[in-house]
Amino acid sequence: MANPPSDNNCSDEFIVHLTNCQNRLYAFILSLLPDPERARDLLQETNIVIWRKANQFAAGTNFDAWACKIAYFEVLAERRRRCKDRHLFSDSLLEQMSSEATSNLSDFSDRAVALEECLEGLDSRQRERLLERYSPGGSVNSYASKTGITPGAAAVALYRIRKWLLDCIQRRLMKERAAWT
Amino acid sequence: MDLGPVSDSVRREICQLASNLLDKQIDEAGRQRLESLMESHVGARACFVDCMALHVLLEATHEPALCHTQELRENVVPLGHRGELPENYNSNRTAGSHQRIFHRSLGKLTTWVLAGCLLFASGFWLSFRGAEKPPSSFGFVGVLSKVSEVEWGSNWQPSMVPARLAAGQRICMDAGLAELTLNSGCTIVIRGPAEVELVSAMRVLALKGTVRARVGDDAKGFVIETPSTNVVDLGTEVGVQVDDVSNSTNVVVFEGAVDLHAGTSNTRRKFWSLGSPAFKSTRLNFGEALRVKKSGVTSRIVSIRSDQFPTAVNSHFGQKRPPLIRSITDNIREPDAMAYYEIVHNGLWEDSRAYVDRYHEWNGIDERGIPPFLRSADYVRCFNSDKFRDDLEITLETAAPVRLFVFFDDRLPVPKWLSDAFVLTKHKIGIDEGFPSHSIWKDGTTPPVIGVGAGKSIDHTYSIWEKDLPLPTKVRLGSLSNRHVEVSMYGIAVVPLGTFLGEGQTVPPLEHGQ
Repeated sequence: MANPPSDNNCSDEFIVHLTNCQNRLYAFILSLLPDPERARDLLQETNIVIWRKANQFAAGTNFDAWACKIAYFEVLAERRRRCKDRHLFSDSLLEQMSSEATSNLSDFSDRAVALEECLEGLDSRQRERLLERYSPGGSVNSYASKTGITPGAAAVALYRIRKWLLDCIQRRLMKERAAWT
Repeated sequence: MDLGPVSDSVRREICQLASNLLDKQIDEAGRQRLESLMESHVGARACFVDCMALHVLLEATHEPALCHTQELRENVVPLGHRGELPENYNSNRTAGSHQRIFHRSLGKLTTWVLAGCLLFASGFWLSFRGAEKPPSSFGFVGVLSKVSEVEWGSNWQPSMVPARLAAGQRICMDAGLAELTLNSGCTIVIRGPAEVELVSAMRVLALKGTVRARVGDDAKGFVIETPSTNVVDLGTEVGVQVDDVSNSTNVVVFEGAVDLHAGTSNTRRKFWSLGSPAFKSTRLNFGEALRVKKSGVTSRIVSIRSDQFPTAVNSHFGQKRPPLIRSITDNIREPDAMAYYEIVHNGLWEDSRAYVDRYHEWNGIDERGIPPFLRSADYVRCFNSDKFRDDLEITLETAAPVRLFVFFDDRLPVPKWLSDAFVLTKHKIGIDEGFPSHSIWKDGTTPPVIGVGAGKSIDHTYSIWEKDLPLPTKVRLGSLSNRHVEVSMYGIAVVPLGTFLGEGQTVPPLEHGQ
């Protein structure tokens, strides 16, 4: 089964990098632009730019940092396009966030593994809540109307689950690091 | 002022505000408070990033993670689990459960596959082979990398392509082609109508339709399970066609070898205990094919058409003219015969594979290439080892007015059946008997590598004989009448008689040699 011819300069390695960094890149963009729908759209646009700039990536260097840099400029461009909107962060805070988020997210794959273990600690009701929230089309409001509670109460319940998961992930990461030191 | 690490209470507050922000439950005061905290504390910013990362991970994992805890936990086979299923794996799960699972995951696919989508739009080959594998519990076993003219079944359709595929995903197609790249390194082309379930990166369940799998070294042991047989791939290219009406499975080996375990698990156990020979495992090699009934009884597949088992999504679709060969059969009747003929429509070009059981390729004898009137001809890949049969009789049935060509090895005396019924032209075609570049002999040495292009690496020449058949008819072709090892089986090709060929050339008038 012959591979279709490739008419671009992207190496397989580049594609693997680009594919593997998608979640991390999404998390980076979401940190700077904390609106999941817009962040997802911007991830698409960022991917296009990364693809176009493939030739500029120096093999062997940090792909994620390079991609996050491109994503940062895409976030700036998005803010300029929506200059009339109220932005959550100032430009200077955004710049600071950008440089810090890149390193904060360097352990992203470890977090994924830790989350997997932490999810097992949730009870069935908590899992149902997460499922309602993260199912396609799911939202706090739909969950609230389905269960007869207020959206505020549903949001609080979700916050508690997230907080518990965050703490759990942090504990596991610290334990993991301690084992290596 | 940047206050550095944060207290637990600030961390809690950041987490609550971030959570409300993601759930669109934050008011203006909350936004201002969040911004203020973020400007003051590097730890607050880190905590905020943690919250966003958690959200992304929950989006990415919620479907497999929740199924993992609810219904798929026992069914998701860890990546790298070669061909073996957990004992509690139940391949008869209801379509409804799959549907539910798929729908959960679809909305999130865009995040993962955008790069691939871009590249796909550019004609890019999305290869995940060798890619870093995601954690096993994510349950993703591969990527739906390409589709062509697909009509999806009622239970699922991807929101975009490429799309990641989870363990347990069932792909139902009413028509068209879909190409999957599995994390194990196996590439699968599915031809609809089809119903195929991805059990793991090393195992698929084909309930209906056609699956062609290319299995690399990393995926040896890849299993295609059907209602009547298990095909264990030993590093090869294999086609499997499941007829859900007759409950039979056709297995065709295009390269390498497979082990075939006929019958379902239950019938295998039952008949093994009776010592029925029909249920013994069978090894199929390069150029061999078998039909396996649900009872376990096997029979030879005499011929296939190459478009029955497309090699890639962009191949064999949109054929320009009707096939010229209706069928090809022979007089081989041994019960253990497994060789097949492959009819390749519009398929004769430079470097076309010559036989079903060898890597040999047809080529022009010099840089001018194969004779122009042969380009895009329909041709037959014969079984080269049939050269040893001196009683062979092949029957070719044409479907239209054609000019029939036979390529005959110049090292052999011309048999009577050929010289009596055919006319020798002055043209020749060459054969390249090399091997793929990765081949290694058993003694560790490397065989000659197959060349690419006209006139490259030509080992022997074949004379071209021809015969005009103005009406659809059956033609009998004989044997080589020679048991010499160092020769090869003849080739068969047909072109439309008196019509335009692919490159705008008409069939030339006969140019006879001697």
